[in-house]
Amino acid sequence: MKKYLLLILLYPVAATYAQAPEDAIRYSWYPQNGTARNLAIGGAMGSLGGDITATYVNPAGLGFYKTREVVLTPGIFLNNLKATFRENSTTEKNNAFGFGPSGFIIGSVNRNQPKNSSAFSIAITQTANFNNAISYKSLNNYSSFSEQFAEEFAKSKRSIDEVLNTLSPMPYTAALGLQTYLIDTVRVGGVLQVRGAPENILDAGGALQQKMFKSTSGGIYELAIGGAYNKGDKLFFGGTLGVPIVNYKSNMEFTESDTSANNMNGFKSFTYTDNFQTTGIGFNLKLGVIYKPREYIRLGLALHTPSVFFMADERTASLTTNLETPSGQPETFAASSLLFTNNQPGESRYLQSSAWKAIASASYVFRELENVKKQKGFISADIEYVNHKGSRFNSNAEAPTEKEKVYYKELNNVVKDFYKGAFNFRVGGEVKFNIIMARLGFGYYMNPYKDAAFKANRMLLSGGLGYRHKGMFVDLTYVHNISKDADFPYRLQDRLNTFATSKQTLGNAVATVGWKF
Amino acid sequence: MNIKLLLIAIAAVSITGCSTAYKSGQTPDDVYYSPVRGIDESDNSRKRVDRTEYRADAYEEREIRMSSRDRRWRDLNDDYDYNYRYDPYRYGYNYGYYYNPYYYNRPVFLPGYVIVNPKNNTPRMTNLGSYNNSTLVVSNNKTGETKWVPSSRSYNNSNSNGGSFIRRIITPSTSYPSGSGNSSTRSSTYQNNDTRTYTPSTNNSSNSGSSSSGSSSGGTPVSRPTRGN
Repeated sequence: MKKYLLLILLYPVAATYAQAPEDAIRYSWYPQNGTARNLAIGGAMGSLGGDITATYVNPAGLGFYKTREVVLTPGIFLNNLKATFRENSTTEKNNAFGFGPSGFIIGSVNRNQPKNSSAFSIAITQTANFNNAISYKSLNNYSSFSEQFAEEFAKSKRSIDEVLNTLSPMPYTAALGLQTYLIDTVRVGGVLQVRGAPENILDAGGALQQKMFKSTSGGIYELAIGGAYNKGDKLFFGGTLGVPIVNYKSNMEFTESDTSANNMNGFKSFTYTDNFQTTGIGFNLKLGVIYKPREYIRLGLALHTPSVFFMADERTASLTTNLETPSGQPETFAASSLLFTNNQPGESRYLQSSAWKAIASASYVFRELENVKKQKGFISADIEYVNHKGSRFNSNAEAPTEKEKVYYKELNNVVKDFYKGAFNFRVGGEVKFNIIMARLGFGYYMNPYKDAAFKANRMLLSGGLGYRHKGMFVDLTYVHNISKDADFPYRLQDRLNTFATSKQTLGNAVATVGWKF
Repeated sequence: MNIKLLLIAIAAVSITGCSTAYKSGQTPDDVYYSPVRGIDESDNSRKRVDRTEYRADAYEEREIRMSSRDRRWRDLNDDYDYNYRYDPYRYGYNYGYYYNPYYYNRPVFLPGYVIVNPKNNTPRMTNLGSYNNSTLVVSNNKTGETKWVPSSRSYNNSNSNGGSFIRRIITPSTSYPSGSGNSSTRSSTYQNNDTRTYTPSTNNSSNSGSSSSGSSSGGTPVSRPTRGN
C-alpha cells in the first residue's frame, strides 16, 4: 500500500500509456548471441550442448557437463550501414564493444547412479546489441515530415491552447510544431485547416531536401541461472531462469529544407531532434530437452517464454524552424519539449511482453569418446520459430484509464496486424584435429513484417578456429552479418508513406577464453 | 557500468581461482564427451567432517563477538520465557496496543496535498492509424455489419512519378461494386476534401501571432512568440 501511495505521489499525471509498434520488434528480431565457438557454427545450439551458450538456447545442453569451466567472451562490432531513401544512398559507420555468454558451469555425477549427472550454470550475456547508426537524405516532392504533426493535431480535435501548456498532451510533436509555427491553422477556401509550412513548396510543385540521422546504443543484457539433469546419457532436461535488463538509447535528428531561392514561400528549413532512453528489467523462462536415440545422434527441443519487462521511457525533443515573413524576411523560432513537460524530461512507464519462441534441432557428433584424439567433429542445425506478432503492451498503472485501455488494445492489434511469426535457421559444423578445431556456420533470419513491401532479413556467415589444451581453451570467430530492413522517417495516416531501405554489413569479431577447473 | 564490473569479477575469478586440474593430460571437450572427475571418498569424507566442525566453531565465535558489541544479541540463544525479557525495540509488540507512527497499518492521508512540480508522463505516442493495412468490408449484408480485413498498402518512394501522384489527402469512401451482391468494400481513394480541418471541441482557436491562455490539461499556458510581417 505504501508503495502505491508513493507511486501516486510521484506520478500525479496518470497518463502512463502508449509506445510504438517498433518497440515490439526491437526485442525479438536480432541474431542469437553465443560463445565464439557457437557463433562460428552459425549459432546452432538447440541439440548440441556442452557449451555455456546452451544456458540461453536449450538449457538441456548443460546436462552434457560432468566437469567445471569458467568462460569469458568479449567481442567487437564493426558496423557499416548503407541506406537508400527515395533512390539516394548514404553510408554510415559505427563500431562498438559487446560480449557473449560469460560465466561458469559446474557439472557433477550422481554418486549412487554414476550414469546420471546434473549441472548448473550462472552466466551473463549481451542478448542484443543496439549500437548502430543510420543516415539517409534525398529530395522529396510528395510529403513533408511536418505533416505528421499537422495530422496529429487536426485529428486530436484539441485547440491550440489545450496543446500549448506545461502538461501538454503532445509535448514532443505537435506542441513543438505549433510553438515554432512549423504547423499552424490556415484558412483555405473558407475552411480552417492545419498545415505544415513546408507544404507550400510541395503544393507549388517543388521538392524538399530531407535528411535523417539516427544513432542508437545499448543492448539487452541477460543474467541467467540454468540447470540440467542427465538421465543415463540418453535423456537431458534443462531449465533457465533469465533476468533480461534493457538499456536502449536513440538520438534522432531530422532536417528539412527548401532548395529553391524563393524567399516568399514562407518556409526555409527546420531541424527536429528526438532523444529517448528506454530502461527496463524483466524475467523469462527457457525449457528444453535433448534426446540421444543412439550414439552420435542428438535431437533437441526448446521453448522460450515471452520476457515480461517493466519498462520506463525518458524523452526530450526540440525543434528549430526557419521561416520567411510575408515580406520575405527570415525569422527563426526554437522550442524544447521541456517547455511542455514542466521543465523536466517526460517519463512513461509500461509493461511489455516480448515474443515467445520454439526451437527444434538435430546434431551428428563424431565421435563421442573420452580420448580427445579420436574426436573428429560435428554438424548441427536449428530451426527456430519466433512469434513476432505476439508482443504485447500494457499499462503499469494501478487503475488504468479508459483511454489507456483503448490505446493499448489498438497498439496490440497493430502489432498483430503489422508483424508475423517467422522462422530462423542456423547450421554449422566443426572439424577437430586433436587440440586445434576449425569451424564454419550459416544463419538466416526471416522477414518479421507482414507487408510484402518490406524486404527484411538477416544472413550470417561465420568461421573460426579453436585451441584446447592444458586445461584451457581459446576460440576466435568472425561473423559477417548482412541485414536488410526498412526505416520510416515519419508516418502519415492520410497520405502514402515513404520509407528507406537499409542494407547493413556487420563484422563481429569474438573471442572466448575458458578454463577447466 | 555494473555489467563491466561483473565481467571484471568473472575474469578475476577465472584467472586466480582456476586450478590446474587438466594441466597435464588431455583437456576434456564436453561437446563430445564429458569425463567423470576422479573421486577420493576417504579424503572427501574427512573434509566434510572438518567443514562441519569449522562451521560450529565459527557460529559460536560470531555469537560471542556480536553479543559483546550489542546486548540484544545476548538473547539470541536464550531459553527463558521471551515474553518477560526487556527489549526497548520491541516494547509492547506482542500486545498490539502501542502507538508507533512508522507501523501504522493504514494509508496516511494528506488532505490538501499539492504537487509542486509534477512530471509530464506523456509517452512516445504514435498515430496507430498510419500503420493500418486494412480495408473495411461488409461482413454481413443483411445487418450491414462491417469488419477490417488485411490489404496491401501503397507507398511513395520515388520522386519520378511525374504528375501521377497528386498531393491529396486520402479519405475512406464507401463504394459498392455493382451487381456483386456478396460484399461491398470501403476502399481508400483520392479525394479533394482535406481531413486536416481545425475543428477543436473547445472554441478558442488562436491563430499565428496570438498568445495562448487557458488550458484543460491542468498545466500552465505557454505563450507563442509573435510572428513578423
